Amino acid sequence: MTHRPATTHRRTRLATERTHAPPDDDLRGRRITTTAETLGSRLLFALPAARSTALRLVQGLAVLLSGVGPFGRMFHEVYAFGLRTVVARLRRHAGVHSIYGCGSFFDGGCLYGHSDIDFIIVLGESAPRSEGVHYEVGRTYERVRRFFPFLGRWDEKAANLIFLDEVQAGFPLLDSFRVRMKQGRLVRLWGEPFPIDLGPARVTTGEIFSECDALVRTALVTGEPQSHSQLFWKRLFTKLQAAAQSIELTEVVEKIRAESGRLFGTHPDRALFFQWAAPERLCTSFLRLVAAFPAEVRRREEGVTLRFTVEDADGTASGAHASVQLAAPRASVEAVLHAAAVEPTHQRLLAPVPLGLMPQLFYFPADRSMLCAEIGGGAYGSIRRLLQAMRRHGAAGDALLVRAEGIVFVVSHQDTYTDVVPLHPLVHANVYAWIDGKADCTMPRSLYDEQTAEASRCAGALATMYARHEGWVPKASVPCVYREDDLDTIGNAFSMLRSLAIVSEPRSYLVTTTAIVDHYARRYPAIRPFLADLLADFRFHRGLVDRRPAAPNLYRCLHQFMRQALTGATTIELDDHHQGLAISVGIITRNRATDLRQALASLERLTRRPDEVVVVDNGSTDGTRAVIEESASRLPIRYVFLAEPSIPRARNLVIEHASHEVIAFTDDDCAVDPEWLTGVERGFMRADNIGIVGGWVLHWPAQEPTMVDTYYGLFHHNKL
Amino acid sequence: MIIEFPVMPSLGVVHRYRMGYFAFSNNNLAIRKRCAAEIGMYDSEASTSEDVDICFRAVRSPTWVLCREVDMTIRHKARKNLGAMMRQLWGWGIKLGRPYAKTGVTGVYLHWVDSVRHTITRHVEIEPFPWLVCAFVTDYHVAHALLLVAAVLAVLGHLWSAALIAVLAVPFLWRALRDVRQAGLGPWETVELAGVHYLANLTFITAAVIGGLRCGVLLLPASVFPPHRPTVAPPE
Repeated sequence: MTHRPATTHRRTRLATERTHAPPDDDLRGRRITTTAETLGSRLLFALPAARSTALRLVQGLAVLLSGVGPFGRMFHEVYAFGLRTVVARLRRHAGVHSIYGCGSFFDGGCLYGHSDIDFIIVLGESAPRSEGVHYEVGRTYERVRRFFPFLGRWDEKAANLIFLDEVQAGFPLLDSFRVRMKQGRLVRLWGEPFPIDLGPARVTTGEIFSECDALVRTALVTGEPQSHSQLFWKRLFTKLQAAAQSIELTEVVEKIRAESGRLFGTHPDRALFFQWAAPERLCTSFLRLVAAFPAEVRRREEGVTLRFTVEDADGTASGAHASVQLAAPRASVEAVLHAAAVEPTHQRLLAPVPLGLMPQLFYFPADRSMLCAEIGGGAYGSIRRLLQAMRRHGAAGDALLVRAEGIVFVVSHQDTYTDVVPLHPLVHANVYAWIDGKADCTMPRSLYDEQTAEASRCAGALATMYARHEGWVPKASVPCVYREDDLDTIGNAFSMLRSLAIVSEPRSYLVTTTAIVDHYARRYPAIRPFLADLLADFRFHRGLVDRRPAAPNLYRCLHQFMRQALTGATTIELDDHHQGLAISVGIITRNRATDLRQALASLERLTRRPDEVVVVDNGSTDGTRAVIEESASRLPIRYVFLAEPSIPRARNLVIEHASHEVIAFTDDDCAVDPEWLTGVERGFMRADNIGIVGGWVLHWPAQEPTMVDTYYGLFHHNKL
Repeated sequence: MIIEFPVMPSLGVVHRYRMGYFAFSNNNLAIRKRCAAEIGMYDSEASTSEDVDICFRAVRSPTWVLCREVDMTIRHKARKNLGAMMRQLWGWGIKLGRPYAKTGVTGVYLHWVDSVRHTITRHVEIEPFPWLVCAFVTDYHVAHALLLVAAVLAVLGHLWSAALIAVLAVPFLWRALRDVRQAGLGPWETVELAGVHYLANLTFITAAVIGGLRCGVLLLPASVFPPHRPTVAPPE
């Protein structure tokens, strides 16, 4: 669960995984506290209030001084030096392809002390996500940047990362990068030019909507002291206006201009920096302006109506409201809502649907209803309180929907952070309609075309990825042991299949895993047995049933199925998912007749029988031979005698004498569990380049327990 | 060398350790014939550490991958008494240096293994170095280093300084014995377990250091922790 080599389930997450960490402010979930943090920094920043005051003072001083003759020049030099240092340190990493910068520093409108420089780091093909180079790059960035607080908020440690190999495969490129690149606002600080064509030069509606969502998120998560400065809000309003302008929404532009003029007057930026702002009021007015975008786009453009049928376990349409077959939201989600002390005007349980047309893996899995809370007023305070409550009480994977000021948000808790993500009313039109109890929705034509094209490109990329990982584990350059988290792998596949069902006709909302399997079994009747076993395996991993289906090749077949399903194949061709391989069991023994009898007896109890048992007698002088002969009637034993006592030589002898390709070793003082060989078989069937499969060694308690025995039980077999 | 990325899910950070620790034990290891042939079979000189050795070679090969399967479980009998246990641990330790030396990797790899989280939390890697120095330092080692310094000072007659340093070692020892305290045994049994644990560590670490030096590497293994394992059904 904790390793990160190039496994498919990790890789397939890429479709929607945030390629950058959220800002590291007070709402950024559980802060990653590493021991790298010095005692000094812990003491200094123990109190958020002290920290924010200090930051405010430093910033204020810089803003004031930068207006005074030579100081302006000095701050420019400080910025430039910081920039050079960050770039110089980052480019030392072998995998970095290029580094881009963006911000008012480059366009001349920089207010030193307040303005940030955003970095976007492009990682080349030699540094894919599976190699983990980006963690090192991130750490370097964090370390260097803390010395240059003026390059932005000094607790902002996140850098935006782009993985070139993923973009080349067809996964969506960071929207902020695409928009800025098209508008010519990106400055290449180091490296080669960006090698991928970004499509039409004009920014699209979808890209601008994604920019708007990012602005909304910034407005909500940015804490003090920034949020208490008028300048922070004015900059947000200006960015929103620029966004509206770039897709020629004239009415919205006028509205923003008027509102901005009313709120901020004609004060210069330096003065606005020191003016106190009321975030609650400003945020409300900001959200109202954002909500004006879809209305104008809808007026301007005809819509496409998407009709969905709902399928749950019975295959019956049950509508938006969660049916009895769905599990209730987790208790921790309810606890979050309670702890946040927001009083929703409405609270409802909905059947889970994919969020938008793009493949989504996060947030709301099948089988569990989603909770949607509607908040009457005070969106800013309520959502921030919800985030804080989620950070304290949420469990990993928790999520809930919140509607405030007409915008729907997902508040979620991931492994390492808590986040709020706004859902755009047009991009995620299906969620808005679903909350209102409707299964049908409309989307503007251009946006629909853009989203479906993106979704099919992404599905193609995922299919390529499944094909690449089918029967082959890409080898990481660092030594590591590979372990597949089957629950995650199958769960992700199910999420993708749910998304796939809403982009292709007839569009279906598959709200339970049974519905997913039924839907695809109807579409591809020939592979019904495979899908049934897949569901059974998934249910085993979720703890719903006690036994796994005997299907050693299930994992590879899942890859084959996904590869074909994602490209919209009409028929699916799979290997036999029951296919296995012949296994020889190898045991080395020397003068342990009693133990050996027990070991051989455990082999007889295996659910998957061994095809051969090679026992090497390493010069025994007791009744070992007799024990082996006694078991020979019940097990296909082959006896080999090696007079010279040498364990490695005996093991080589087993490998030489074994008639099958895979040899599973155990010892004479061990007992194997009944599912032992099933595990071995499954391990080797996963991929052709899996050379060694290992498992877990548990304690076999002695009949008369001693302290040594207890010790082995607690601490045994963990050589580090 | 082989690591199951010792990452806490809550940390979410992967360290690309060049030197890790061994994961698969010989009594529960399955190998593909072709893999064994390609990486050169078991090393007949590496008795008792042949499993470490073959895994090291597989993991460093350009093709072969090591995989852990959750269902593949065995139960292993313990050694009968303290002497047999110490002989077993000595045997493991004394031969551990050979696989490390055989990799041909040189450099200094220092890891701090946190006794509470049971994972590596800090590490230093210096690659341009003529020999291999690989250490997994835990509270157990720190406590012993301090006690050693205290003993030297005491011999030299600096009694007060010696006492002070010996006192400094106490919190480290206390932390090193955390797993023993948490075993949930009675007071006397806890003391007994602590004794066994202490002797096991001492035997294994000393053997590994001596065995490593014989092969020309400086190897300092971590003290033994309770293993992380998935929860499985209790034995029948």
